[in-house]
Amino acid sequence: MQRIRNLLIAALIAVLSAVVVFQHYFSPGARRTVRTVDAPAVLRQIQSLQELATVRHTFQKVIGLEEEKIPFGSERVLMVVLAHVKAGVDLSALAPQDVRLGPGHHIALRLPPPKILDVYIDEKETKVYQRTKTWWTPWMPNNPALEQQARQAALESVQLAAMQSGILSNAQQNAQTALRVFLQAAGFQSVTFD
Amino acid sequence: MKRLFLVASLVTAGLLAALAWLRVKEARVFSQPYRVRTFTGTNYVIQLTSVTVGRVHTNWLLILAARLENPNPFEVTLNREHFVLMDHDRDYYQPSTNGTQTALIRLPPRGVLERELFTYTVAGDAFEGMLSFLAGHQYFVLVKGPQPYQPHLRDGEFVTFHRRHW
Repeated sequence: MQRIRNLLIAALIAVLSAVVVFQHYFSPGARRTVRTVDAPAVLRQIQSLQELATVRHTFQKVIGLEEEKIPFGSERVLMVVLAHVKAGVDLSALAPQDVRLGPGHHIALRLPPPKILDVYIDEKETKVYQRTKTWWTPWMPNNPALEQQARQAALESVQLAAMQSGILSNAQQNAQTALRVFLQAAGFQSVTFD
Repeated sequence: MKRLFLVASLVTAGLLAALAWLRVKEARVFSQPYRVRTFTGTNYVIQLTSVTVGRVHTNWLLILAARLENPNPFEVTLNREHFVLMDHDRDYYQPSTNGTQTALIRLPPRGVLERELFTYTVAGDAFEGMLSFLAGHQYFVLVKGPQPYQPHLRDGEFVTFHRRHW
């Protein structure tokens, strides 16, 4: 009786072991690849995104530029300028110490500060409204570069206006949102930013 | 009467000529070239060509245009942030390195940059006295004289000068 019971127990253990071995080697989930995630690999992936432009503001400005002539007189140009400002984060500047992997598929990132990536004038919507010179200095030649100077002043003022309107904080928030989505799709469960 | 008119005309013409000569001289002084050195000892030449002042909302923009020349047979790289502006209160302003102006200025071998711009966002009281521009680490080039300037400019209006006394 005792012998039969021992045999039954041994058979039960053998069957259970066989089930466990079968589950481990032959079930569909057994062939899944095991991904190893290390910080340098993640860093390379994020750096490959390069300059991530996350926000674009459009400004229309009236720019008046008056140039004082030497010795006397002045020349003036009045322009209506439409310009676009793009801001974002330069992810290629991310350093190895800016990416930290934690337990449980957690990643912490320290992003570079947001910056203005591009400021450009929409030529179709930009026009010279008025160009005048002091009437009593007709001998003074027109400055061919005055319009270009006005455009440059417009670009600088648009850039300053964009910064005053908080474009950089918008760019940072949008970059964090975009990267969070990107990293969660890559398998990370929680993403935090320093 | 006729003689008085003639004398008055001659005096006026003389005064105008003297004023014109003074302004031309001022412009030449403003645009004189400076041979300066980088921190590593490389020579280059800088020459201010114009200064533009403008208003954007509550801020003031100052745009300095300069001609940069590299007499060397190799490329010279300058850090834009070294070209600071100093006002009468010894407040320092660094040029913008965002957007249209890169942080590094590259001068090609024996090349010239005819119009390199340095943009500063300055406080309104910066125009109450002198303004100087640090060229290299040796010269403080006077951009504006000591007399106060109260620009009556609206948002988006700019004025360009080619001399210091504005």
